[in-house]
Amino acid sequence: MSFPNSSFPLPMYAINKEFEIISVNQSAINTMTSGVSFLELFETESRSKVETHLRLFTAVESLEVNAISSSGALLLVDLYISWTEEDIGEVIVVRKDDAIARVSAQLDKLRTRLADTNFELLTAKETAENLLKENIKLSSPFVEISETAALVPIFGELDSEKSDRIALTLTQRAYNSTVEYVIIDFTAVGEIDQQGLSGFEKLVNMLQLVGLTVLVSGLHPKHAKEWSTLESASTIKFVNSLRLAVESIVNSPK
Amino acid sequence: MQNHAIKLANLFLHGDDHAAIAYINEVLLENNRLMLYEDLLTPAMIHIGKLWETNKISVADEHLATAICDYVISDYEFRSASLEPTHQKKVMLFGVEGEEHYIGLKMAAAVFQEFSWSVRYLGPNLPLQHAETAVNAWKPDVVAMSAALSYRLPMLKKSVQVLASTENKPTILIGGRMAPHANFAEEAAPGQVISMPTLRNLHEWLNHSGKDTEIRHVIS
Repeated sequence: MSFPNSSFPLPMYAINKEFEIISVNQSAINTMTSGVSFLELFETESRSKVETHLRLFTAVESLEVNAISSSGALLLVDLYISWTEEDIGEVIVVRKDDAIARVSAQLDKLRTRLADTNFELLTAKETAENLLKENIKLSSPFVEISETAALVPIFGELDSEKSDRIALTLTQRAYNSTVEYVIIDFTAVGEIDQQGLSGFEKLVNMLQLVGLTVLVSGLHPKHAKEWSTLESASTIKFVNSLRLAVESIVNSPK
Repeated sequence: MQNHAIKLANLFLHGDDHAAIAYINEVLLENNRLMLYEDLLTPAMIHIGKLWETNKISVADEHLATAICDYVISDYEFRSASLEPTHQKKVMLFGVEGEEHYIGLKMAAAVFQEFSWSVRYLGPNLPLQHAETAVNAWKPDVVAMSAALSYRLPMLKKSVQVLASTENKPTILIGGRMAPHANFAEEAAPGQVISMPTLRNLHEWLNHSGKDTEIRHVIS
């Protein structure tokens, strides 16, 4: 069969009961992919939808499916189907308005941007955490000032995380060196929190256990109050200033 | 639960995010992520797919429903205080090149987070080349990818081959509707690929692999 108006601007198909294509118009050739079966014109996920509705053998209006264009791209289309008395199915393909595609592309873009931002924030957070760790590590250097003495000036606040970190580096360094005295200097310490202090107490005990003499210098009066609450405070030697600490080591009998 | 899911699907289709969240709070008896994702959101989205197949709704409706569902997940994840990743294990998730379906993937990322894995969610339609670069740079223990449509299978296979043979030999998880059809996996990367058709499967697997020190390689 042929269509009465071959220049009809929308793709038209005539199909038999087996859904084989009997004839097509020029617009169909121009815009759609070709096939023996009508179902081949649709992407795999849409085929069953087309088939289910064709099997009704009744008129179907605006059946939305994804068709394949002559260039192989996906086309969102509406199908209009009707059946003649001779069991010929006539189908018109109407392309969907691009507005939907535009809006959904816009939505996609927004979502991607949110995901990217999220991802960037995550990366920034990781960097910040690493910096903080590095900062903590650097804020308690182990400085050997003579064969027998080492100085550990602590910078910034003393909280539990920092005292843990200090404990880790200090015990390692002290173990590998020949020092007998460790001066821990608090001159540059701002706040001390209670947990940081009890972590620090453990550290001091540990150092004393491996036979080191611990001197604490540069305590601020407000720190001194905190320290007095600690049990082991009596075994730690407190010195007013770093200068006195160094002098006491230098003058101490070898 | 099925009735609840259908009702929720209708709220998604109406674009009513507030009502959807309120409804979830009403029917979800306990604060259970797996129940929300597996018994409410997934069936709701499957129902929406069926509505399209029976020509009751259009693609535009589907997009709106997906956006609302996405929002609901983000909202839930924001509210449930996520644990800091204490786990040593790292997972990277993405949808294979060309694949635009991502809701399942996003939910899988949240499940990993619940098990306090270190998670990188790279979203849908990630070009394979980028995925490979990311795997080489970050060296995840697990790479989870998903595909929903059958014509993504060749791309899925290629992705498995490329990513499984990267330097640190990650375990590959395949999720999404194509997970049960990934028969090629055993041949593409022997002993390295696990099919994970549902979030419950993932949950169970994470429960097990959390106890073992080594991740077990099984193909279901």
